Amino acid sequence: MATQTVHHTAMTLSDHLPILQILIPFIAAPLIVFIGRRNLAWPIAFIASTASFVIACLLLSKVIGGGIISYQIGGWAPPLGIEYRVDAANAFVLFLVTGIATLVLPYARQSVEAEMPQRTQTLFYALFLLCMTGLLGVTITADAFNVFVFLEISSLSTYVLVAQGSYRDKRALTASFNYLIMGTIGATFFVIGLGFLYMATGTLNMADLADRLSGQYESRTVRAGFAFILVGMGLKMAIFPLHFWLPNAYTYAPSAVTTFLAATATKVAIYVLLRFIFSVFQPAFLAETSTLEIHILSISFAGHVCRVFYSNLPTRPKAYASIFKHSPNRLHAAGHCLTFRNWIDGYDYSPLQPWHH
Amino acid sequence: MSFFTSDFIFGHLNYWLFIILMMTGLYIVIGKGNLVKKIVGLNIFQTSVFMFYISMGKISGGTAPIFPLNGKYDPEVAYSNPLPHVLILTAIVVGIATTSLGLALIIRIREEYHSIEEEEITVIEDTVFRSEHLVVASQGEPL
Repeated sequence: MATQTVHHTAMTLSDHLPILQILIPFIAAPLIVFIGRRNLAWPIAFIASTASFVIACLLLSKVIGGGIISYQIGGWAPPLGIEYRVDAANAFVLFLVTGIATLVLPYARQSVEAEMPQRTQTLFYALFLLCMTGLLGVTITADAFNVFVFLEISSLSTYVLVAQGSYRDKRALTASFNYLIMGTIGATFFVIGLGFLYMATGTLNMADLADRLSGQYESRTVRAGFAFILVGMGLKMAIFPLHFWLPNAYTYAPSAVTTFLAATATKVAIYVLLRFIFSVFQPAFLAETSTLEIHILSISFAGHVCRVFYSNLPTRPKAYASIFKHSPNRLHAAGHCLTFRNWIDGYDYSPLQPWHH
Repeated sequence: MSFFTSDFIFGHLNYWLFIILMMTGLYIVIGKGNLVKKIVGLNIFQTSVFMFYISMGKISGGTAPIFPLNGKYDPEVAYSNPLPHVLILTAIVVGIATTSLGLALIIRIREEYHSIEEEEITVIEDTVFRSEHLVVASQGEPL
């Protein structure tokens, strides 16, 4: 399935669009740091994000009819080499991430000048682009371990971006620290899950994984791997019982950061989970193991209920008060939970579904 | 019970080590209030995964996967799998970045809160939160 060998001879620029999608923000970020001039930082960031947006539009227009673009990094054919694979589902996510970034940046300029000291403003734009690189990389790659690497690029820059709110409210620091702890636990769970899948199959390419997993749905290794990936991505996307880091992080982050992250970061995590549930594992796997999800969700829900009761003790009213105070965030998290249950129940895979709330 | 044979225990030694380290790390992250200790716990937790991956690549009797320069390799020789090591090299870099960022955040937290104990920080945040809400409530009262 994934072993067609196409040699990269005489490629035009348009053939390199998938890698340019990642490289443009990735190179622009250190460029901003090296130039180090505050008045140039915003224009570079805006140009890079606009260029990425144009590329995302071009990619979307190429695959919207159902085509697939497979890009082999360094000419190494998958499954050995790392492959970038663009189809209608992730081209839409690329379009969304770059589009939101391009929309947020003009507004971010005012927000950054108002909310941050001058010395950190240049670095803010570099981090913003790095975060965007990570999110785009997670979306475009077809290599499961590459997902983890890009996920951590975006997450690490997100922790710093959230902490930038500390000049307005010092609680951004603790929010960022909690986010770092929860995010790292989530990412590590995801890696454990990948380890189990790698043990069972010996491959990390998603299409190849799907091929080799299809006969092994009874294997405990594969099921454990799926459970770890589910919980890990659940933490990253703040799915309902695992959402404790989200309200504080989004409340105390600079407003431009919240606008960008709320519209992209958790959605990209949803995309990864969708990709794993519907491409790497087939819906047949879910049908066989439907009890698995119900157990995980009910156990974590029970944990959530326990925490609500504990939090009524006078020592910790604040965490819950903030969830209830910022009810849009709470609805946001509950919305994740509901959409997630819809996917599980109906296997209704529409790329538009995560974006409806 | 035939389940707990010595084969079951010693044959899966790397898994036992992985589970013990992972649970130790997670317990420290959740159970300790000191932020630096939480970062240490996170490190132990991540290290358990590194060990899990690396032990997974070892094949019994396998040697280092070095391709001979003359191109004549012996098909009889078993080689250990180098890929998990390479993957974990990346994960170690990520872990170091996470640790340094976490410690940097702790420095900033200590500057602002004068404490790195979670309990004390929570008390300070509660005070800030209550005072905010008292102000809002008194402003909203009709005179």
